[in-house]
Amino acid sequence: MRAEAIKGHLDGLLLAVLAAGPGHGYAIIAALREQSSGAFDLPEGTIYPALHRLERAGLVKSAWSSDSGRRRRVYELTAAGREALGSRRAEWDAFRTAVGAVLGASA
Amino acid sequence: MSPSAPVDAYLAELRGLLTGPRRQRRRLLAEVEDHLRCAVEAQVTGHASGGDDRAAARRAIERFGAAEETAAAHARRLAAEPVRGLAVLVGFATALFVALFAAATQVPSVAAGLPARAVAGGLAGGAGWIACQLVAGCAVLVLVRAARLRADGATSGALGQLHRAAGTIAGALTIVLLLDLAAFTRLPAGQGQHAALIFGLALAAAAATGVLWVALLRSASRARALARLAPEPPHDRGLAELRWALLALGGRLERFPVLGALASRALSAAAGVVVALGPRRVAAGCLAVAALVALGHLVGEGPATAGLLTTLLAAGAVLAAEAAVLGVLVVAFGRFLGLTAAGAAAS
Repeated sequence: MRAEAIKGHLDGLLLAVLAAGPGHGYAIIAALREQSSGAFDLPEGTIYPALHRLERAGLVKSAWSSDSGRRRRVYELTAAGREALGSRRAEWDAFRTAVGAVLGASA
Repeated sequence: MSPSAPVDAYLAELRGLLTGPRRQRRRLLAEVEDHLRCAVEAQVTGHASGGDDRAAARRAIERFGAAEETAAAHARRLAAEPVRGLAVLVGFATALFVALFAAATQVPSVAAGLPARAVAGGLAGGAGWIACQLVAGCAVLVLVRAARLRADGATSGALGQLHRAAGTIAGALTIVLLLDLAAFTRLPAGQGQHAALIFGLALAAAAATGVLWVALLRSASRARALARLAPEPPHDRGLAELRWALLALGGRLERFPVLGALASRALSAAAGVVVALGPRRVAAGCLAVAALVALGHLVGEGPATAGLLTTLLAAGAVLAAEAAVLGVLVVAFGRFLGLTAAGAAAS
């Protein structure tokens, strides 16, 4: 799937992956690819600025960890992030229902 | 060549391209390094035959995206960051500008005598009115632009327009501040309460102007870094829009005999000049006219014996400045709204 198609949804997708539990950048990308059955195949490098933006907005927080013997940044959803994810989901449900009602009706 | 050589080369290239605060650059580099090493390991262990480390590294880098793309995404985030604060400052500066302007016209010592002198009064009123339009137009542009930028992401073109509008407001505030200070130094005795008002407002305006300029320069330097990494093709749709408007107006005037034809030719020539000069020179010309009007405002407070010619010249200057300001706003909003000559003709 083209990167532009995901652009508006990337924040919501990242929050949804992090809702399952904390993770570092590579694990987040891997989960995104796996859960979308490979459909979300965007340039991986662009998710870091997106994660940094979400952190700046207070929706995720991060800290260095060296559990695996390698120093890496682990991201975690904040309470505000959980709330934002909830409203993203509600928006998406409403959008999906509306589009389905129109597109599905002609089938 | 070691198996990790492609990763090392990629990191070195990225290090050379990254912009912004050192801490954030180091953090991103550390994350990218961890990511690429994880990706290489995952690919090597994923292959039953053990896999080729260097081929795995190249595949991991390919999936990650070009260094330029990663650096541009990082620069885009950094450039979008100060925009919200800048929009809040612009809102505050605009409110302050209105307060300063209102105070300058309300205080009797400043306005006293001006209405008696037609030229000075006209210039002062004209300059103020024009400045108010310019500042209000720019403030709306900054606020709407900032809101759109948050939704669509930062581009160097959008940021450039936002900074030009914010810079105009900062410049207007600086000029009003200087006028206010000039009025303060000329305040006659017995105007203590007005002196306190003017001085307090000037102090607030000086602080706000300083903060606004600093925020603007910081934001502009980040936008420049983004423009270097992800340049946008130059487009002068706004100017084309102004040119089209001038030609259309000329076309309508053509049906009037003699004067209409002359006006149409003049507008057609003006349209040619607008395009030949380019956006920067047009903007500089507008600012120069506005500065002349402001100067007239100051000079007008001196001894004046307004003759007919002077009055006409002053009125002409005010009209020219008004036209210039409207031109700038049409260009700015035309570009912002993405209007085209065809679209305007259809409506």
